[in-house]
Amino acid sequence: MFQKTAGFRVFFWISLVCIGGFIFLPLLWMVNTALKPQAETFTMGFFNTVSLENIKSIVTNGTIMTYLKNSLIVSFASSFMATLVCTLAAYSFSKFRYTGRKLIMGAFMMSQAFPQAILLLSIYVLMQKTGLLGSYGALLISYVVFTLPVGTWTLKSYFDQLPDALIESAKIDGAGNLRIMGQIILPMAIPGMISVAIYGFVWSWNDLLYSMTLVTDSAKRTLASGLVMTYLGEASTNWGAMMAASIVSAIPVTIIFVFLQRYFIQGLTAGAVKG
Amino acid sequence: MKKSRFLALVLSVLMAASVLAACGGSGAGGGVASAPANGASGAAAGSTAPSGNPVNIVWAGWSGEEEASKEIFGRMRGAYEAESGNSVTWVGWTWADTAQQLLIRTQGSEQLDIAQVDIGIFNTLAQAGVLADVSEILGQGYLDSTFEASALEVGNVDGQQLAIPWSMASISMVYNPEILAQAGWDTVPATVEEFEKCLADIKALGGDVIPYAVSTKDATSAGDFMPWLWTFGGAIYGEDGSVTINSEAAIECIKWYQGMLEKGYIAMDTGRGEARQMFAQGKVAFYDDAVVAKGQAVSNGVAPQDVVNVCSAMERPVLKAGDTPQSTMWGHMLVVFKGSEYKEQAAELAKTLISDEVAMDYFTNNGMPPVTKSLITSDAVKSDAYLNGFMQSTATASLEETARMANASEVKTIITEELQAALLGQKTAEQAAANMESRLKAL
Repeated sequence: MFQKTAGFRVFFWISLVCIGGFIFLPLLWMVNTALKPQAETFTMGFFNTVSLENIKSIVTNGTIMTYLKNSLIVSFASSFMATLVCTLAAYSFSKFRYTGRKLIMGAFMMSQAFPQAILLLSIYVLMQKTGLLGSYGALLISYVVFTLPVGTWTLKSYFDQLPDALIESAKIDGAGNLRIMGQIILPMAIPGMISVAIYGFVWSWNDLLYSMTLVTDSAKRTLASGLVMTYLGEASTNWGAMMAASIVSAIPVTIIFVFLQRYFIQGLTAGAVKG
Repeated sequence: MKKSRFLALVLSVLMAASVLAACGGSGAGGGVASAPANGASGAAAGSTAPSGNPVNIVWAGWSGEEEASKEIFGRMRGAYEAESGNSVTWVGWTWADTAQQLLIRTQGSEQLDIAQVDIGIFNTLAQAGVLADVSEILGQGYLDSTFEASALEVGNVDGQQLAIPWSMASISMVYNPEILAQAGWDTVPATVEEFEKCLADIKALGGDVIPYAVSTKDATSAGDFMPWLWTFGGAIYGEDGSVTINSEAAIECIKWYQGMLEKGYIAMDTGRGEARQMFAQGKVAFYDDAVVAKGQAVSNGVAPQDVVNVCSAMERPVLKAGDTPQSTMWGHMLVVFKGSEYKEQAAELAKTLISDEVAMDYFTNNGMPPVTKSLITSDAVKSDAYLNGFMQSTATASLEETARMANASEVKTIITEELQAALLGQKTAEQAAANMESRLKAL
């Protein structure tokens, strides 16, 4: 598509360096700050003095490890629940025809248009009335709600790709809807489901607003709100420790993404090209 | 396909286990917050007396979450619980999130009896109409005998006493005596002219010291600008509430800021947080802050008793000798919620928190200045060199002009943006002042 002329190469490399700079410099600065002694936090030094005191203080901090554990529980659980619900909804939208289907699909997409902060108060009241406030359950349900629109539409695109003939053949062979879904459709939709699971995991892992609002018991706090509570004070902010903790908190998401990125991309791009 | 199926199976098992753990974990403590651990022995409480069946009251705020004051807050709760037989559940957020979270909690009808608020947060809650008039609970007589009228005034809105003063001082100018001494200044500058000379001497020392880290970004920029504007004789609003910021005084003040930036006395992109941190590291000679500045110095390794050697408060320089030094009020207050079922118990907790022993514990270990008549005249408080500097400024401090406004943050944003435009050379001082006025009028 592009001629690899000298001009193109220059443009390509300049663009790459600029975009890379925007993406990686903040991350590099985060690592740099985490590895600075506290007295040098606000200096412009770039890996001048490397100190592991911040990292050490994080990994030996039992409270931070509790937040980490809570985040893992909530993120894995909400990711699982979201994938399950999205799969069922997407399969229904893709392979069944019923009154109001398009309206519900539109409503799913519309719900994504509202900023999450707007829904906070109504979700808060809902959780309070149902007695879920302060529990992991409140977070799980909220995260599933926010993963639902994108997850359902992603999986619907995936299911749309699967030929209806497969389902018809299975029906002729006497398989019921549940069996068709469980034994034929779902195994073929695994990449799509994995991409939704990753999306749900990352969403819940990164959430600050809901975790801070719906859970106020420090024993149940997730990492994002726990870190902010621990290191952002009225009078002082421990940026070094905050950056070190951010690195630690990014590790699980990074590992999961590295291992599953193939499926993530495959799942997201399904249905993008007709053929 | 086999590989992906195996991967999916492993993930599913892991996720299902998490769901089970999450559901299991939410059973026992499904409530809002577990009962707090009683603090250590703690200070004895004030005049609280056990009354009726024990109840659980919910106290919210931010300081109980912070490392520097967590233990003290545990002792405070312990003192009240021991005295009253009631229990206290602490609910905390970050300082910056407290106003929003308190409003959400009150809108959601979740139990909330008493909260720690600062002056900025107080206005938001008072405007929302969720606060109880504490004079009806504690009695005006008790309030008058416990606090100075000026302290009560801060929590009084339209004749209703919506907050109990807890810890009050002013946002003063803070300086590093060691840097001033190096620059040849044994006394602090008293006038703007002297201040500029002092900044020039500090600048001449070389190095990477910022002579005056006045805030030039975020909402603290407008907060720092306000007392300087008053110093130059200007104001954002007139007595009748009209916008008066496009004045000669304001233009002169903005030009003064521009001049200081040009000479390298102040720096762009400096907020209160950065100023604090750099000041604590000896890289700032002057900046504006409240008494909580001490916390940053201590967390940077300065012994509490030595803080005054590197961090002292002073009165803001005046335009000409004889003028009144300007500063803005700062403080933490206690509010009781209108919707609380336990207003009396909450007010009793407030009485415990301002009682001499508990308040002295807070002051001694966290530097938070007490506000009751009995303590502000005590030797322990009067002889505190660090606090004295702040108390001098407090005598002439005023509430921020936006303190009682519902759209305070919008007003501050406009002032900050226009000031920044002037400092960056995008607008002249005249244009910035004119734009401030037109934008404020359009609100």
